[in-house]
Amino acid sequence: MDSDSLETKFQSCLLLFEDGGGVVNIQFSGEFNDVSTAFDTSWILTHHESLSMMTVQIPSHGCFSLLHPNIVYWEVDRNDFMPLEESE
Amino acid sequence: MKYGRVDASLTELFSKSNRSKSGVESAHGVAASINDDCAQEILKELPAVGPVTYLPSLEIILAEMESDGFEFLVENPEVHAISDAELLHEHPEPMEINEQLSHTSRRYMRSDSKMFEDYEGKNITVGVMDSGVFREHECFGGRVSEQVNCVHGNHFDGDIDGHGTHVAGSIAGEEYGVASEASILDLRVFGYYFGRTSGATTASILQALDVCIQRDVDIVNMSLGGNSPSRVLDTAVDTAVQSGVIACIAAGNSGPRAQTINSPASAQMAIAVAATYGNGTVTDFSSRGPNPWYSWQKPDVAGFGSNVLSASRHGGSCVMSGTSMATPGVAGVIACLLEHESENPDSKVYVDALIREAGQPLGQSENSVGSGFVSLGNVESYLSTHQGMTHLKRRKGKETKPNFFTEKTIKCELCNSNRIVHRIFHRPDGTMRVRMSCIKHRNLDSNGKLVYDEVEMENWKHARITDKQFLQSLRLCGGCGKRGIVPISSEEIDLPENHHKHVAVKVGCLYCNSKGERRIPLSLHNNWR
Repeated sequence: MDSDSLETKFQSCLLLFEDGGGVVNIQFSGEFNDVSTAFDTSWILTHHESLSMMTVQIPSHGCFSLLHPNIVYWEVDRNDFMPLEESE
Repeated sequence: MKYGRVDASLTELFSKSNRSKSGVESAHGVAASINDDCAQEILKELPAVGPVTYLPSLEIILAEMESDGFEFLVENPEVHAISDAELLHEHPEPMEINEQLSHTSRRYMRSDSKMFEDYEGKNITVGVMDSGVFREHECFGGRVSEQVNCVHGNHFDGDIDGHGTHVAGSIAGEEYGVASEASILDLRVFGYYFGRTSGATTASILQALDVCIQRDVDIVNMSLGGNSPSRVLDTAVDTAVQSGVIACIAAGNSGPRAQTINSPASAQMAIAVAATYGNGTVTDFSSRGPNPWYSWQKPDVAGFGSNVLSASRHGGSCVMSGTSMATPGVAGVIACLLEHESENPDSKVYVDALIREAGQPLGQSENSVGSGFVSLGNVESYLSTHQGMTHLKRRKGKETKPNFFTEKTIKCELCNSNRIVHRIFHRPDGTMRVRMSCIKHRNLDSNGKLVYDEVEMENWKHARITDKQFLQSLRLCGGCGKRGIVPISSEEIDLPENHHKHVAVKVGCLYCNSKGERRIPLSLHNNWR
């Protein structure tokens, strides 16, 4: 199935909804003001202006805002990026 | 405890001490992470042995306590986590540095280059996205900025881990670094959890990349990696590179298995750096290609990353290994090349291309070392065998020479970014019509269909579009705006006899997986494929 199909997008939102929401990183097209209207202002943690991206803390009832047409892609925030030091 | 964790060793220790009832001897140092709001209440009620220390900036209580104090903390819902404080105070013994085995990046990555002898990265800024930098270290000579903290709710200035200081030392440290006059922008993305380094979040890395673009940083060094792909992060890295930041990213330490390169090193425009020994042979731990997620090749280059001597967070020096340590060496090489090319308006594009070509593979596979080990010496020898630096300059200049089409037509009038060419209609009289749209400023009609911008070109001579330019424009994706479109299958279109033969090509985007169709003349079809 196409990862960007509406069905897949809807299922991703549903999964996030079942998980009770969370912090997500969003890549959007167009203007920030157009996309930000989809979210309560208190949900928006950071607008990464130069990247056309933003980090949003979405409660479960706001998950389906991620179906906004200007949202190109989104991912749940993760924290597994580690320093790459190796013991020899 | 409501959520969080308790060190298993502490639970065991206090349960034993409870059984033995050995009095004060059973007291043990404990560190507890708490809510700042409830700190005073907890401090008042905590049954501790001796004084209790509260660190408000870290929201941590440090105290010696017996099992009753430990149980009080375990049962308190405002305590997030409990850890062994005595372990936190243990400083590792300084390693005995083996002078024969350990060397600085400076030694291997400069490698007696004559051409770049006087270039030390002056006026070049390198962003170090890491655990922080101990900027008072004597090797930096005041060239490290104030720390930009990208970790939400974690305030600490400096470097507890030591990783960031070591990396910054290999870039710009006076004795250790390849570019000993470069400036460092300290971008902290790793948090601290009870004195230990916690993983960086995607959000913190995005914030750091955003800072790099806004502050016109020349190079960003990312000696970090994750365990799986992140499309958002890869896209952000590519955006940063397109905005003029050269991204040097550690390939990873998951070798020697194949296909072990993850985000953000897997980003197309990143310079993914593998680690080698001083002689240029790849280390076992260095992650290997091919790129498991995308079609482009990774790693790109290799640098010295085994037993690297560099700055320590305690002052002096220490030895570390990893692709983390190879990456700053390459960043340092790039800083010197950028200084050398300071009068070239396209210096970043040029150096980015040069560094990817100038490596010496020494007979190793592309999946191990990319184009090979890069040092200033190798770049010099590459340039001498390829007709000097002007060779690349000339070639690049030819490719990017502006013309009427690229400057006046393809660029969007509002945002000056490239528009997507959907179709070009050639007419027998030499004129043509170009149908295009901008990814940022697109209009939709009442049915939700895209309204194209159309440009009539009357004088073909002034608006000459080469086949190559046309075929490249086809690669721009309407979904994400990246140059990621690849053909999947094609079918010839039935047209009346007096029409040129055309092919309908089903296409897909490597970045956003969107699908679509392009119609192109049969004569160009084979070239594009």
